Amino acid sequence: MTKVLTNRFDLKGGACDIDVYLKTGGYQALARTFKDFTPDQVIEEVKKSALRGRGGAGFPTGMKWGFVPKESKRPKYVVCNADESEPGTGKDRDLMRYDPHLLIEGMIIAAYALGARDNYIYIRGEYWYIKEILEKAIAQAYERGYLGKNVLGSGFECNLYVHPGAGAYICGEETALLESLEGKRGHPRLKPPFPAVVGLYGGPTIVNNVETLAAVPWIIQNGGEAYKALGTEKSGGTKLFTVSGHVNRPGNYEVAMGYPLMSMVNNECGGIPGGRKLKAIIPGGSSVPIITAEEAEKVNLDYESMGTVGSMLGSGGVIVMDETVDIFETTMNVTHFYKHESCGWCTPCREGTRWLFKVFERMHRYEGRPGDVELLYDLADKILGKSFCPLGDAAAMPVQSAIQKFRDDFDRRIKSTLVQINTAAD
Amino acid sequence: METVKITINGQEVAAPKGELLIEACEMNGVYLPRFCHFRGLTPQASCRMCVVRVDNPKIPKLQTACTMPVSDGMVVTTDSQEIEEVRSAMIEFLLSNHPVDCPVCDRAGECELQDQTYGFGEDRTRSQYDDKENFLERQISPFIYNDPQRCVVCKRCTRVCEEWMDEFAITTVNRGSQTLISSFSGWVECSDCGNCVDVCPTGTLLHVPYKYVARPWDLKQTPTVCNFCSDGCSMLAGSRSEKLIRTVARDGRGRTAGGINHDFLCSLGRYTIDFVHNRQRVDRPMVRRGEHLVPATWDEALNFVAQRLSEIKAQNGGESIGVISAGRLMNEDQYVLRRFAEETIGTKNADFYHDDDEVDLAAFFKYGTPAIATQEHIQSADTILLIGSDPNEENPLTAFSIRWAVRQKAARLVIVNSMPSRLERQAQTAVRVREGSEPALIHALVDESRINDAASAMGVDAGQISDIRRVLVESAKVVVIFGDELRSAAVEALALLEETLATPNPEVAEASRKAHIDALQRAVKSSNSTQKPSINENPYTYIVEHPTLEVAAEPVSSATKFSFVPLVRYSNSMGAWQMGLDSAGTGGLSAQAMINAAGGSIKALYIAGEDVVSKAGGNASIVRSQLEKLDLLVVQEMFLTDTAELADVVLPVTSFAEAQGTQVNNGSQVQFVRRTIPPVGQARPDWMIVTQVARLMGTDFNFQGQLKNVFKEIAEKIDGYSGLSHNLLANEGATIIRRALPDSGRIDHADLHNRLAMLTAAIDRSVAVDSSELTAKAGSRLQNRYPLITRYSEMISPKLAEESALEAPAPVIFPA
Ligand SMILES: Cc1cc2nc3c(=O)[nH]c(=O)nc-3n(C[C@H](O)[C@H](O)[C@H](O)COP(=O)(O)O)c2cc1C
Ligand code: SF4
Ligand code: SF4
Ligand code: SF4
Ligand code: SF4
Ligand code: FES
Repeated sequence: MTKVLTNRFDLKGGACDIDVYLKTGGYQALARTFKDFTPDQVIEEVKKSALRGRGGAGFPTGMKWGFVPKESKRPKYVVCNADESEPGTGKDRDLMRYDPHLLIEGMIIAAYALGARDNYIYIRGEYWYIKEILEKAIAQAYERGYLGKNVLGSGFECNLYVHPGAGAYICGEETALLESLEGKRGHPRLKPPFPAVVGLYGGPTIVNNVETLAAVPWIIQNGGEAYKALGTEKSGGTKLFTVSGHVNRPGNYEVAMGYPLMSMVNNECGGIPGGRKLKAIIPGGSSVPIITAEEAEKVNLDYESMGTVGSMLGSGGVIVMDETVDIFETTMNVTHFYKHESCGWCTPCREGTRWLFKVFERMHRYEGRPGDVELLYDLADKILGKSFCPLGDAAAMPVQSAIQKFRDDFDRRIKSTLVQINTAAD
Repeated sequence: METVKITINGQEVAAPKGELLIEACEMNGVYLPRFCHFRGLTPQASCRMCVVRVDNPKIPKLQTACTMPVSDGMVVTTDSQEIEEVRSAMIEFLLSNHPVDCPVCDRAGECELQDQTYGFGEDRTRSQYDDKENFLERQISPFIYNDPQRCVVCKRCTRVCEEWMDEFAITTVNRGSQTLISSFSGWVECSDCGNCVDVCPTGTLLHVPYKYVARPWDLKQTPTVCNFCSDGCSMLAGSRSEKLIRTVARDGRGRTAGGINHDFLCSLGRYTIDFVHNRQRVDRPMVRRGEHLVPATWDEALNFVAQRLSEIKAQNGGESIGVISAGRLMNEDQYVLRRFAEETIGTKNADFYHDDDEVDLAAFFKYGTPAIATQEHIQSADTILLIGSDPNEENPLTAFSIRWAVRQKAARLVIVNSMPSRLERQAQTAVRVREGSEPALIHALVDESRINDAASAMGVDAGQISDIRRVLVESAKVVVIFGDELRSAAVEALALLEETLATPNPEVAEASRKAHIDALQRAVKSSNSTQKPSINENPYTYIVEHPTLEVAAEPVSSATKFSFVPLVRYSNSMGAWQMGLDSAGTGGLSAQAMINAAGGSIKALYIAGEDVVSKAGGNASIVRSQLEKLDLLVVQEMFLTDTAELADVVLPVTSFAEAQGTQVNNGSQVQFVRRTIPPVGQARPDWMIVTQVARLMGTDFNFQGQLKNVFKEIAEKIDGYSGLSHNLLANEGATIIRRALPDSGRIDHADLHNRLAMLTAAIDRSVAVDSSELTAKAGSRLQNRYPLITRYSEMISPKLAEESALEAPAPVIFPA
């Protein structure tokens, strides 16, 4: 299979050195960009590739770049979202620690396409050691003239800075990220205007995931059509998945878009340990609806196929759960995460996640009250679609899908004696 | 105003173009529930109460009406089952961890959460009481209580603190369901305006003095006018059992007194009012018996005063008696005092007390009445030139309006001042000049050839002054706000600005404004500059990022390009002037001159409401010994002030809360002050006491004991008042007093320029320019500027004492 992202993973970090990166074909896409492409042509090529954002929402990248106004009073920016906080996701980590120059190269090309001089990588605070790797790589890139006042003698100035977050999931949401980058509290902003028009410091800003940007050099080198051909009609190229949970070989795997989910579980990951049966899979990070074993058999790893079973590709964090798992417990865990990470801006998410968790807590003690399962479902319903940003939806969807598909695990938590006492009291 | 057609629930209506949907609905009689939306604050869209369905343009999700500008042909539904469900769900969420301790909550009865629950919620909740997470109630400032569990995190409070006050004193701390309103240290250091409490829709933020004091439905709420500075804010005075309990700009139900300040009050207007019921109030007349002032009946006291005044008049003539009033007394008091001086006593020596730190009104009005700007004018000004003074400390509403103009209308603010001011943070240009050199600016503005000389007198670059001059020429409407720093010729010369700084043509102003907005939109520090731009550095984001919000209110227009706000010191300095109780008008001795002449040509003083001893500050002992030389000192006062203690007779008077009448603010707007509570003790209104003394001395003013008759006469006799009545003012609110504009024909240009040159020449150029950073509390100037009455407020006096104790610059430095 053609690899786009993980070609240098085998070097186990060797490619952090710019010489190794150069020897293995690095920065050639950048050179080619300046030689053969106008900024608009870069955007065209990315549009042709059918590359979609790998941060979770899957928005077509070329289209997003096209939204940036050509003329702007304020400076434009390219910001790389390396906040990677979605539970079950660790792909950006490997991309950055094994092949930092690939991301840097992708960012420079993006910056050239959009006319951005100053650019940022916003990295989650826990990745402090990767921040060091990136900064070293950036220093090398400056030394060799890939960054700085006059990139490769093209006259284009490009600077790159790494900015660490301080441990908030919400700062992965692009507008909260920008707030945080500006030194403010990490709250999402009102949209519209979208960052592509009014973003960092009020300037047009493209926020892209690490993986999205890392795919750009290959697209430039091999053409958008070639990239698209690797995947399906609507989901071009390859994607990096983080597989965790009950598999023999958890890890990051790059597969072509449209690859069957179970093939990845069984082949790449070596199947489920101990010959146990599969119970459920969360296919795209903790925010997406859970799917059953039967559904898992049917789906392929692309945006459209996931939609057919009511789930999403999300961030590509595949969490595999075998028959020993109690879906109530995993859902409670996920809910705790969202309660803890809700930024507190809007009513449904702030109050709803607290309330959801309260109900989970008593059910956890087997003290669930009759109607609690319905209550959970309804509370999730009252969050879904009503919150200020998608985090509210992310908290609601796992709860609803888990109840729909694994109701038994929830019903067990209702204290039946309480039913009698309560009805007696009524 | 440009309007668009929109359809709300099937009904086609008109709405101002660009207006927010939630406001447009309300204008058309459809109220949408809300917590976070508050007119004029940056949209927040966090409570999710105001959701509507937008069918044209078709939008799949429900939308928040508080963030949607209306567009032509928009079709919305605000009432449907799905919308009702969302609203009641949000209410249920908000109540899920709410203590619902309404019986002990001070907001109950005017709580928006209660009201919205009744209006849009359910009569049940599925959240269990034992599930609730507790947060402890605490006091966070001398004036504010905080009960975090009642918070709906609408952030009205923090936005008000940032956007109205530029304080950034409170913020949200923690995250998610643990979010609290607090300051980082837990103790709030700010100007204590209390506006955050007023706008809070719940019982989360509470006024300390109002805590557990009354229930809103027990309060009688009287719209009246603040008495502590010349801005003249309206307020709702809440009283119960004949006690004044609180003053608010808006009550929990969103009702305001409908004044010029809308929802704004400052700490003085809000927290000083407890002086009214201070136990030290003089509650009955006092007459001196040897060493002591002893209580007397009104008859005794009045007869004594009348008799002694008559005797002194007979012996030494009327001119040996002086009448001094306080600038905060109302028009009716000033007017009656003037007649008293003229007709009863027969003296020209009548003056409202003011010294060098009062605006030079005689000079300002020398050639007529220049166009005076109101708060509305300031708020929609194109350019604001602030000379001297520090409105932020002395005229907080004016400061608010300045910030409003900059933030919401991208006004250009130019400050020329000799001391630091927090408003410099909003300024496009802030020039620090030598203390005392402000008049030179006017010289340079009216005579371009003097820029170099003036600049060197001010200790600044000539370029800075010509830049200011250019901005003024290129602006369409300029509001000049000035304090007492300008004197005599410099104030007179303001009348020349209109002709010397005329805009060549409208296109110039247009282009200049465009360039200004354009610069704002570009004004982002490059992101790789070492210091990142902070939120404070770009106060303009509101208009620049939300241009649609510059809508609705039509800018008020003025006929002239220049209009002025004289920042007079007292709540009714302007009124006193208009009533003619000013030595410049009467041609007699000024208040100071009378005191100086005490024991000489002045044998008796009749002082209404001013503590002239304390006013003298460092010279108090001199003034005291002067007063001691008098044959008779009559004082009308609320307290035994340092002056009253020297009096032969002290006559107890009503406070602003007990009296009725009219006062004129620095925008020359006359307002009606309503009586909120009955007089404390035996206090009587100043005007009434004076008429009674006059009657005993043989002059009957023919008011029949009726205040409205006093005003009737004012309306007949005083320029600009014709057609006005108490009734009308009570209904109309602030009404501009219009008088003839300056007659330029009367100006002797050569002489004026000469005198300006002399002013400039007289500036002491050895004084160093104070370029110090602004400290957290630039209190020094204020020590003797707060109204003296604050001494009798137990709420506010500790704060002021603390501030005046700050001598060395306080450690906290605001970002420049
Ligand atoms: C609550 C929340 C958290 C998010 N966290 C991340 C993240 O950690 N990393 C990321 O790349 N995108 C994250 N996103 C998605 C970003 O908002 C944004 O869509 C993405 O960075 C766009 O890049 P892409 O188009 O390359 O995917 C998050 C979104 C939400 C709503
Ligand atoms: S849904 Fe609301 S509370 Fe939750 S993270 Fe987004 S803005 Fe914050
Ligand atoms: S804030 Fe309102 S609802 Fe809450 S306790 Fe007070 S009165 Fe009751
Ligand atoms: S304290 Fe009051 S105004 Fe402030 S966020 Fe809470 S409810 Fe809103
Ligand atoms: S600004 Fe002036 S008038 Fe308004 S409340 Fe404060 S002191 Fe009173
Ligand atoms: S009023 Fe619109 S969301 Fe709060």
